[in-house]
Amino acid sequence: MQNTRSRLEKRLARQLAAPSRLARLTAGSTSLDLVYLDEETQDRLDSRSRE
Amino acid sequence: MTNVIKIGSHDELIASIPHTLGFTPQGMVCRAFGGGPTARLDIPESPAEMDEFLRLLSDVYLHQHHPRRVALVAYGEDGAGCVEALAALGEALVSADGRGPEVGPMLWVNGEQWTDVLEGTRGTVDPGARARMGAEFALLGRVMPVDRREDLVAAMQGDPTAVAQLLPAAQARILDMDVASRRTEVEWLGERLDQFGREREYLSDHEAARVLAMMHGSGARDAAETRMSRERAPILSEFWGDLVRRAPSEVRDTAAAMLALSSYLDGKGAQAWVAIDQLTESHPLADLVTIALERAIDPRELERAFRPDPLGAPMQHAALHDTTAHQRRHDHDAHNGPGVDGAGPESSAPGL
Repeated sequence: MQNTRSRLEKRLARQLAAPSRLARLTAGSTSLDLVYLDEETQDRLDSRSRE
Repeated sequence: MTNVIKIGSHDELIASIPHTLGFTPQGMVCRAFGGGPTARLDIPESPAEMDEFLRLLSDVYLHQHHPRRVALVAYGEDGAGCVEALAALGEALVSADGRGPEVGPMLWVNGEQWTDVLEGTRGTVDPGARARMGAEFALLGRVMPVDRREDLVAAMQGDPTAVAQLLPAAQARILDMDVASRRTEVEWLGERLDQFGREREYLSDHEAARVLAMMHGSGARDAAETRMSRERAPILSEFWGDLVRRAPSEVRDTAAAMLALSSYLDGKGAQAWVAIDQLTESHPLADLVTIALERAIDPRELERAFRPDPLGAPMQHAALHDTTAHQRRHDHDAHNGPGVDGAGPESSAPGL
């Protein structure tokens, strides 16, 4: 049993309403795992990879 | 710069990947450098699956994100399948008319053995490299990876018995509340979340039942959701993960949806998917997180929605007085659908 969207969920829905060519990117059973490192970790890895 | 994590060899690249993903993977891992996410996807087993595999990862790295370089690492016992997937994906990314990232190295990893399919070299992962990466990521405060993706699922299972015994009384208490009492209850939830952020004091069984009893309401969810941020996401994942493990099945979905949101904001896509997989039915918040995951939206972009709305406070206060009854009327209605066009019924509501 669930109910209506919260205020923040409405804001999220508006933000996600923009058309995207990637809509339903992983439709079906495929789960594409994407990991976004925090900025500090990403910076350290990137710094080394440029050396 | 002395505090960089040194990834200067295949061994170190391979050793860094479980720490990046949070688990030791199977399938194709695309490790991005210079922006963009790291991706993991199953190795395709048919031509149709290969088409989808290439479409998904090409969309991520040619259209949605633009890293400077992507290392491709295929994990699995099926060497032919891994090499075929590496070759096809490498070709798809580098033949993009200069729009794509640099690609390399391209490695097949089977257990501790690796093969560089471009250079034709082979090797065994140096245990010292694994130890070094473990230490480097630990210094960054990263939790040690679990052995398998499936272990993320196991970590969400627990014993709901104690909370289940207290839940009926907690639900009855919520139903008996008037508007002012519900507002106070939502304020308590916010304060309790803030307290957890400061002190990491987990909920007692009574508190857990109290939180779970109120979380089906959009007002209570809003109080919890607006405390989310990328910075707070790791701590809030601990909070909601604990509740997912202790929640009886009839009130577990919302806790799982909250965990999906905090995991997504924390950049942990696999954990977010696993949390969503815990749900027994469609949920307004989980549906939105699913869309964000499916579109490969960087959580930093979606985090904008969590910033305070300058009109939000007075509107929220005004809405509080006329939404609780509205909320009660809709408690037995089907919630609005998972569409993202804003259509359908919407609560304006911070009431429970």
